Amino acid sequence: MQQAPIPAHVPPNLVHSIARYQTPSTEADPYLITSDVHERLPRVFFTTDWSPLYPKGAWVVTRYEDIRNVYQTDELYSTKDAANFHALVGETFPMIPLAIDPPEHGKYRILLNPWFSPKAIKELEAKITAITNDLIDQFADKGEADAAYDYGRIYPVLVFLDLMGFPRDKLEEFLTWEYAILHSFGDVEKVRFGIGSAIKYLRGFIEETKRNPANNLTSHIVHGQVEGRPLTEDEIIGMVTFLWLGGLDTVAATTSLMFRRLALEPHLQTQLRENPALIPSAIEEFMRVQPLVNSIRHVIKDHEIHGAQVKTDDKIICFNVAGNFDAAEFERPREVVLDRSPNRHFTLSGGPHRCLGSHLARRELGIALEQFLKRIPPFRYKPGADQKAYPGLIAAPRVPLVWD
Amino acid sequence: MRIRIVPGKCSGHARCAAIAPDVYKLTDDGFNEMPETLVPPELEALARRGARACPERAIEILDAEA
Repeated sequence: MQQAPIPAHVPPNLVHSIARYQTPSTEADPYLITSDVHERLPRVFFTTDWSPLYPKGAWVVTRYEDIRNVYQTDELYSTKDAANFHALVGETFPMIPLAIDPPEHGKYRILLNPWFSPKAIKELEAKITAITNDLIDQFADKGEADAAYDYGRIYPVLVFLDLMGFPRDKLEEFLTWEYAILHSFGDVEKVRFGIGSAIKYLRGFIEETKRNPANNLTSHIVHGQVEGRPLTEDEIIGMVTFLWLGGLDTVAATTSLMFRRLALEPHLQTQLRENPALIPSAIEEFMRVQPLVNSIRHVIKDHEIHGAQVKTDDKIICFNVAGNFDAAEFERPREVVLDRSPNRHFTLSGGPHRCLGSHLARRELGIALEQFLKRIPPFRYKPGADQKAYPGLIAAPRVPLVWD
Repeated sequence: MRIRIVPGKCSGHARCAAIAPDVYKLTDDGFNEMPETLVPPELEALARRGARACPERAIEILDAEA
């Protein structure tokens, strides 16, 4: 896509590249690259190389406190046009609930919250435990496994397929489409292929669900109501597509990075093996040090942030890959402290759009970690393996591990 | 010591209840809609930790006047 000119109101001295912060490394902490953000860059700056999907560029806030303000101030920041991949194939429905602002937003969350509440997720624990153990069964006595390809890539998707009512045999195809959308480094043709294929499938699945109601989340949406009336066609496809997009990749990426970190920093494995009660707070800490989403918002009112004049229709990014390591909020920010408290990170976003899947993600990660540590001895990277990882959603596609 | 939830701020992270389930009771949907509540002395330390855990800063600690 063509790079648009920098908006006239943006001072040239505030324009900076963030490309370096998207580069992979073989460090134990693939986010180490963001260590210089707070020193090197202005507190609020403008970037034009965020993504080919945002050619006009965006403001960037990198301090925890400034990020929190963006999440919490919906009078200034809208989620209009969020996750707008489908615009590339000529679709105009909004991704629901993400692209809807309060107060409308809350009405959609009311429909979905009961399926993702801490209480509802508790009901899924037996299933998550069974799914993770079935996968571990495949490699437990082999002395090696790929924590990403054989485990992390699969278990969250199986849980999610069941929740939504999708057939399990769609796993590989769904992953192919998902990767085309989110892992193709902005290659627009690949994104088109992915989102076009997904929407076509989902429309067919929705039609089938209209004819055959079932006890799954898709049916709950298709046959559901908002404010006492049925959802429109656009609302249904918008909600189902967004859930499809959100549910497949993030937990897998977190899992792969987590096991990679445990392989490279064995003292963390030891701590967890000696005290499995640490697992819930450990999951929180892994989430903090491995943020996958830097949220983008649409400015709806001219205002100033620390001297920067931000205008209506500008975009602004919450740069969690720096904010989650802000020493003003987190002591020893680059250290993985498994019992860190408080741990008020924004990996799962903040404000009204706080990730709907938060509790499911936490529980999946907790069970996946617990079961693996229970059944597999202390593990390390397979000698000679490529240890490259990205500081974001692409994460570590392969994490080959060995154990004695 | 009393705890007060700032109206409109809770977005359902459920960190308060994760840290201090005996203090913070959530709705079925996972939100904190507690009225201003007196905390028994033996739960005060836990209540403070739970309040600090909130990314939205939605929980206010109101200490008793000396």
